Amino acid sequence: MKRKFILKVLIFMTIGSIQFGWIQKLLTPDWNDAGLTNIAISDTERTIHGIDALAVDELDVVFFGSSHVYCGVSPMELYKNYGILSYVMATAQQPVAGSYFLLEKIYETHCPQTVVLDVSTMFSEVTLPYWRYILDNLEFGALKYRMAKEYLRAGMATGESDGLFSVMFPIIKYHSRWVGITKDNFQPKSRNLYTNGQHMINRIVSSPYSIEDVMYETQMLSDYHSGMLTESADGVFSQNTICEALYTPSVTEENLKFLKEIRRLCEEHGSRLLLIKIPTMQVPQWYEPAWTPVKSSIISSIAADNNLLFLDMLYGCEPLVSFVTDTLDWGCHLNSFGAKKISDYLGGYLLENNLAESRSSLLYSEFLQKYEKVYSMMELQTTDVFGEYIDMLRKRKNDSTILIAAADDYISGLTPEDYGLLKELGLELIDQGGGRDSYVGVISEGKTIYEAVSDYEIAYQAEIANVDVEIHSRNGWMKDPGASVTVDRQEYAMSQIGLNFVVYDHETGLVIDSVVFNTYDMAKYCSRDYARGILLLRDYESALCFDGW
Amino acid sequence: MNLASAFFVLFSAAIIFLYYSFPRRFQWLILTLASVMFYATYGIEHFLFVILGTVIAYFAARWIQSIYDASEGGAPAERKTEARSILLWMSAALALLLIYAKVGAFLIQGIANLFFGGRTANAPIISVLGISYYTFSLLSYLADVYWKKDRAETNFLRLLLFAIYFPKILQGPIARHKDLAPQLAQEHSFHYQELCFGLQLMLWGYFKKMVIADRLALFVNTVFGNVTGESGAHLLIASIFGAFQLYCDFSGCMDIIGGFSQILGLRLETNFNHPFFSRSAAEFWRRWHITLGTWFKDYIYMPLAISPKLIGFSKKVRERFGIRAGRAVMTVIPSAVVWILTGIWHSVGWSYIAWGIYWGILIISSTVFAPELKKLTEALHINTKAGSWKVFQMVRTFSLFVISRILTIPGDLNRSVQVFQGILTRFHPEHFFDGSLYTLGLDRPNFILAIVCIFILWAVSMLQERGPVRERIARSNIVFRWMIYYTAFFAIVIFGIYGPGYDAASFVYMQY
Repeated sequence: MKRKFILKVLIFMTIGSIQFGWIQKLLTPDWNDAGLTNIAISDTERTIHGIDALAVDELDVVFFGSSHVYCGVSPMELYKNYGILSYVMATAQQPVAGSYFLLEKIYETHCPQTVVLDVSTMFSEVTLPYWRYILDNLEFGALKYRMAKEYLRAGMATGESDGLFSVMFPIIKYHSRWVGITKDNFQPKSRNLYTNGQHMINRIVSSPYSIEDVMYETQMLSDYHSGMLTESADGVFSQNTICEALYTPSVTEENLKFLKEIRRLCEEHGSRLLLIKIPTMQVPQWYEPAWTPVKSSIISSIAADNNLLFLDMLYGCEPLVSFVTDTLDWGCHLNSFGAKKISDYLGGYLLENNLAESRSSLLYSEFLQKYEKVYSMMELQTTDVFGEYIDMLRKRKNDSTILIAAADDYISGLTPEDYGLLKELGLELIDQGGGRDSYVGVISEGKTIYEAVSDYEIAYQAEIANVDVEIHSRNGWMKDPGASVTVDRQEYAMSQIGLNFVVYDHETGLVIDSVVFNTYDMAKYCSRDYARGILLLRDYESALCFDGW
Repeated sequence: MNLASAFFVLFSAAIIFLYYSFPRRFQWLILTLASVMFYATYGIEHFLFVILGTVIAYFAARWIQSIYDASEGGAPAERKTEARSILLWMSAALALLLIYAKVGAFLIQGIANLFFGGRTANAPIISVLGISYYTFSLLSYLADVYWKKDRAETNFLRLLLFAIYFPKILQGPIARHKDLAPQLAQEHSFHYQELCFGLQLMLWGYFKKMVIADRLALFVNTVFGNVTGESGAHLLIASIFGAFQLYCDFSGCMDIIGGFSQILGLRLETNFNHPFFSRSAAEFWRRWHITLGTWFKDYIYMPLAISPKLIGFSKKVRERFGIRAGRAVMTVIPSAVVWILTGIWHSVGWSYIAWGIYWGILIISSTVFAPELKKLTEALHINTKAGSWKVFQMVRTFSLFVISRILTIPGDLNRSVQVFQGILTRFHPEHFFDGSLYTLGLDRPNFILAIVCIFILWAVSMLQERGPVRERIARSNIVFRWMIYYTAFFAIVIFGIYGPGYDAASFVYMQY
């Protein structure tokens, strides 16, 4: 009877625990920002669990840090150019304590030769939500418990905290998310992170500052220890001195403690620890994590005291990136083009200093193939010079379908050189149109399968590579002139004056770019919907990497 | 330690484990220690009152018992008088503790201001947890010993356990010593069915409290936080929700307490019996907060009703104004006293005094004017046996309860008047349909869930009216039973109002 009772209780608790785990997983946010309009969040769940795809001997270098790292370091570039097997275990505003606990987690399954820590957050008292991005994605266990205790201690210091139960059982905090549950939450999703932690983004928003500006502004801020307040109230004039240290960055004791813990852990496991700083080009007045000479000097001193290597990639070497083309947000973060350049430099540094070795891996090679496809898509999406764009289309026309529709006047700005490029692409009728004629061109699998020019209207419909396509081009003299390109009944054309291009990939059947070049104008300005472009990029990544649950 | 907190759940689990792990003769000691620890989580200063109250009751009861034991075969008149004096004086002492807890701060501050002109610091008053409940329990114990319905407890710790048995200390039920003490003293062995039934009852209690009551509270508090700005439609919905909120909060707590006690082999008094199925005010108070009602009936109403002074007065009235008037006096005076005291028991403010007067008038009127009401229904040819009439009576009684909630929710009589004004003068029925209901603390999904849960509450109550639901569940197959348990548990986990982002929702009746 007693045995039966115990058995019943055990079965009941087991079934209940399984259900509890599943419901908790459903309701807990994974902190993967599918829309990726918010750079702050990143693919935290995929980052933390993506490393499970690597075999024990498939990890030589692991990177920790904040968004600067997951934007600015490319493991695939490191592999492609140097054969270095690496992983970016960086999360948004990752606290140094978080780096420590994640390193502990990595040592449970891997033994990297080198641990690389970006020192941005050494100066921050990180707010608690950024701890939860990590905590909410750790499995229930001793490691999570210890990090939770540290989280609570940090919370007490700042006056905010969720409570131990809420951290160990995130459903306590997130159960009210039931309101937002849709059928999408039950769909299988990709967990495979082919970039090994890098956050692929091709947005280009230049920094308004140069390095001289940053140094000057920082100096001005540091020098402002006091100021004069001159007032006049009701005719009475007064002057007062305000004394205040406006800029005194310092490494917090907690962060220093955990840096030492990371060093100890590395020593225990025979790994070397390298401190780096991914370059930023912002001023501390506007951007708290801005990298300044003062901070660099503090870290250099700490590194020397602790016998650690420190690579400052802003003040410690020649300019590695351009903050006109290689930053996605005014110099705060690098984009994937900047990450490529940083990784190029970093790879050489790691090999020269015996911090990594060159190896090959089938898995990495597989990832690299996907990475190159996505990178190529990103390059296409950011090409805004007409001639360069046509050249890129020519290179990828064998595995893509290119749909072209003209709107209004598309020929006034085209030069003989442009016509030459377009004909090389396969568009033989491109120079047959007059004034505001309609034009449609379809290139697929390297061949021009349809092309038409008319002084009236052109409508084209077909199924190409298992995708339904409809193209309309309407003469510029007619009422409602314009262009339309729908793929699987969804409109993609920019429908603006000039040549509207829509490109879709055969492997995934997804649109990878939509752009219009104003070929009415000699300048041939380019226009894109960048927000949509990011969504196209994410859809493409998901389709390329989809592996179910 | 909030009953709806994870700590309480873990604490209870630990107590159950210890209770059945140790030899059974130590069970009452374990409960005593647990009760002391539970009480201590609220602050050790609360002990002063409960120890004082228990000491008073302990020695008073033993004194009275010793008088009776010494006078076997009949106590002489002066010894009976002595016993009566002990009862009155010691009851007054216990009542003084209660009065101090209810009005002490105001009295002391008022006196200090009178003599020192407001130059004193605020009086250091200890707000006493559960005093309304355990003083009533101790008062009834003393009275029962005096009336020889119970014997005096000879073990101080056992009396202390009766007073502060931790599940009931915060919100009742108001236990009778003669019913609870023997159970606490008894040795209990583990029964699987009691465990199942107890857990089911606790689950149901948590569902009512955390999913229904706390969810409705978000809407009620938002609307009643702006009584002059909200439309009558919103105020009416909030008042109706307030009725369900109070019921689910209070009865939910009773279910948690009752379920936990059942696991330990203890049966506490029922405090609620589906009061919203009541068809009259009198029936309502036989189904709502039953132990409070029976306490007032047994220890205030009946002693007053049979007191020689009232009987004498009733005779005079009958001689002067007739039989009916004389009979009315026997109802009116004790009822009036009971209802004013009931109001004061809840709180000393004018809201609750008005609330007590309101219910008193309703109940007294229904008794005194019963013949007229019967004639009216006959004159209107109302079939009082028809189902529709019964439904009308239930809706009517519920409406009367909603009105009483309007007197107490705002916490201030002026604001209660503003609520009535709002309902009557700026009703705006379009506010039921224009989506504004979803902007008052509950968004659309949560509002709909609240309505769905009220229907679930109604459905389960209907089932319970027809017979014990837990026994019905026990008879069904294991798969169905477990589905019910999992559904109830996960409904609480997913839909419960708890966790970071919500204020810890304490039980409403803890404040009394």
